[in-house]
Amino acid sequence: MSFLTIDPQPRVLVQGITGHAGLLHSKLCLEYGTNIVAGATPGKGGQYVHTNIPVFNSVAEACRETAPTVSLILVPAPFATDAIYEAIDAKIPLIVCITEGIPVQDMLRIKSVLKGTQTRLIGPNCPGILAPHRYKIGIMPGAIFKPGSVGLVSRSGTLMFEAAWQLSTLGYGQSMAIGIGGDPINGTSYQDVLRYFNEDPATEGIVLIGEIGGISEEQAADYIRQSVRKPVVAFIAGQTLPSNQRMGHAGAIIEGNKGTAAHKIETLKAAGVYIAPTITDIGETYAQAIQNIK
Amino acid sequence: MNLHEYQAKALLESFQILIPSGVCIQEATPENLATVKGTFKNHAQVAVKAQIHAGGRGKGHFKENGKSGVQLVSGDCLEKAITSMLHNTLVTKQTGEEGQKVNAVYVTEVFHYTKAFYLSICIDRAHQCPVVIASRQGGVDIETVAATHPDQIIRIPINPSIGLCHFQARAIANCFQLTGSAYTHCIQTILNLYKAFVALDATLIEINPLVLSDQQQIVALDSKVQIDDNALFRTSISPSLVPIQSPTPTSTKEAPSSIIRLDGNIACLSNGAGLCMATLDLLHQLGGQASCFIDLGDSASEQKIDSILDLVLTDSQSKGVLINVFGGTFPCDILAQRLIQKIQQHRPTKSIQVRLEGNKSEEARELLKTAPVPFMDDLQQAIQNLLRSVSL
Repeated sequence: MSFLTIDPQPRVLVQGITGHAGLLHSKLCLEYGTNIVAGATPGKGGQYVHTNIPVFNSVAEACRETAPTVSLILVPAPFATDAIYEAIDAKIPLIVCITEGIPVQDMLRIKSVLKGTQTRLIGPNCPGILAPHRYKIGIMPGAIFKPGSVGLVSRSGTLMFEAAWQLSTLGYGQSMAIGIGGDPINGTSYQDVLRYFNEDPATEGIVLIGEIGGISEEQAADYIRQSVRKPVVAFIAGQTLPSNQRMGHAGAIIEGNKGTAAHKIETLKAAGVYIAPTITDIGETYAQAIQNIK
Repeated sequence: MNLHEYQAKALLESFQILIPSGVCIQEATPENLATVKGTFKNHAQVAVKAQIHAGGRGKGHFKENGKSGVQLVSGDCLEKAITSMLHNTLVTKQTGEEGQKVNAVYVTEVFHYTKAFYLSICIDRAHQCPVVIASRQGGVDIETVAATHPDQIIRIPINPSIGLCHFQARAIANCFQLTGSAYTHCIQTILNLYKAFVALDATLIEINPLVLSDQQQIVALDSKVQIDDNALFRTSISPSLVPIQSPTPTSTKEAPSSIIRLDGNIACLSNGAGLCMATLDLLHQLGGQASCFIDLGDSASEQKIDSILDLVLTDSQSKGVLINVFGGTFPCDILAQRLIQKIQQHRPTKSIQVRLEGNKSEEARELLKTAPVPFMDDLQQAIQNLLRSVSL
C-alpha cells in the first residue's frame, strides 16, 4: 500500500486552475513548495498562469505534455463529477478532490468505477493532503504544520487544522496530514489511511479526527483493533448534539444505533484508542499516548 | 431536502407508480373546499392528512384542539377536519414538544387493500451502494419488525453502475409472495421506483405501506421522499414542490450561512461543521448552553460576516457571544476588523469572547489589542469567562 509514496515530490496537475479557487490555491500550493506542472480548464488551453504553469484544454493533453502523478480538483460542484471521471480516464494515480457539493449518487458511481482502476481518490469535500515542508495538495494553511512523525487523518477540514496546530505547538510535527472529506461517500476511508500510516516508517503515532454520522469511525475502530500497532488518538465531534432527526426508518434498519458520538467513542476505546475528551485536549492526549509507549 | 407526502406522491405518479387519488389544499377557501368535495362525492369516507416533515401523525395531536394529524371523516365533517389542521401546530413523537406548523393538508380516498408491504430504497454508506429494503410486513413500525423478525426483511444491495436488475425486482415480488398479474405489476412498480430514485437524485424513497389492491394492483399508500441537496442544481423538480415549511430545528436560509437555533443563551460562531460541533460540545461540557450556532464556512465575504455579526450582536436571546474560528482560507483579520466596526455600531452589552487561530490570526490579534473584546489563546478560558459573565 503505497498510494502516498508515489513520489517524494509529486507532479501536480490542477483541474480548474483558471477559476477563482483554482488560481488562489494553486498559488498558495506553489508558495508552499508543491511541484505544480500544469493546469487544465476546458476552453482555456494555451495560456500560462503564475508566470510559467501551462494550461491545457483537457487532462489527457496535460498528461501527454507534463506527465502529472496527482490531480488536484478545484472545479465547481456541477462540473466536479466529470472532472473526476476525466482524471480517472487519464490514469492519474492519485486524485485529490476539494470540491464540496457533489451529488451522493455520483459518488456511488465514481466509487464503483474506481474499483476497476489503479487510481485512488481522496475527498471530495476535503482540505486535501499535506506533507510538512515538502508539499501541500489542498487548501490548508501551511504554516501550522511542522515536520514530524504524527500521521493525521480527519473528515473535517477545520478540525484537522486545529489538531495540527495543537500538535505542532507541543512539538509533535506530522509525517502527513490527510483530509478524507465530510461527505457520506468518500474516495478514501479511514482504514485506507490507517493502513498507510501503520506501514509508513516515518509515522510513529496516529491522530484520527471523527464526527457524528455514518459508521466510518466504527469501521476504523475494527481495523485498528485488528491491525494497527502504533498508538492512535481520536477525537469525535458532536458529542452533545441532539441525535440526527431521521426521516423514515430505512436508515435505522441499516445503521441501527451506530453513528452516535457515544457509540463511536465506546467502539474506539474498546479498540485501544486514546480518546481526547474535548477539542482542546487533542495535542495533550497525543503527548500522553506517545509517552506511554516509550 | 424532505418532500411532503403530497409532493412525493405527485413525483412518484410521474414515474407510473399508482397512488390513491388525493387533493392538497393550503387554504380552506370555499373554492378549494368545493373542489375537494367534488372529487370525493362518491366516497363515504376520506382521509385528511396533515402535511409535516415527521412521522407519527395519526397518533399525534394538535396543540390547539387535541385532534389527530390523520382523520377519517365523512363528507359532512370534511370542512371541520381541514380547518382543525390548517395553520395549527401538530405534535408527534418525531416533532418534539414544539411540534410543526401545518401549512397544507392532503385529502385522499380511503383505499381498500388485501395486503400491505414495506418497500424502501436508500443509500447504504457502509457498503457504498443503494440498497432496497423490503418486507411482507407493511403498514406497521418496520423498525420493530427488523428487531423482532429480521428474517422477514430482505435487503438487496444495488450496483450503482448497473442499477436495479430484473432478477432483484423478482426477488422482492417473491418475498411479497405475489403471483399472476400482481407479481408482474409489482416488478414493474419496483423498477419504476428505482428509476425515480436515480432520476430525482433521491437519498431516500420509503413506501409504507405499499399495498395490493382488490384489483391485484400495487399502490403506494404513503411515501417519504428525500432529495439530495447537492443535486438540486440538476434535478427537474418543479419549484412548486420545494417544501413550504422547513423542519425543526430551523435552518435559516435567508441568512447567508447555516444558522441552527437552540435553547440556551450563548451564540456560537465558528467555521466548518466539525469545528462548530466541537466548540458547541466544549461549551456544553463546561456547563453552558448555546442559543444558536453559525457556520461561517471557509470563504465568507465581508458582507456575509457583517450580516452574521449584526444578527448575533443584536440577538436578544444571546447574552454572550463565543467566536472560535480557525482560518484555513478564511481571513481572521477581516473578521476582527468587521467585529470592531460592528461593536462600535451596535454597542452590545453582552459579553464577547474571541479566539482566532490560523490564517491572518496574528494580524487579528494586533487589531483587537485596541478593541473592547479580549483576544483569547485558550478556548476553555474564553468559555469560562463567558459563563461567568452571563451568570452575573
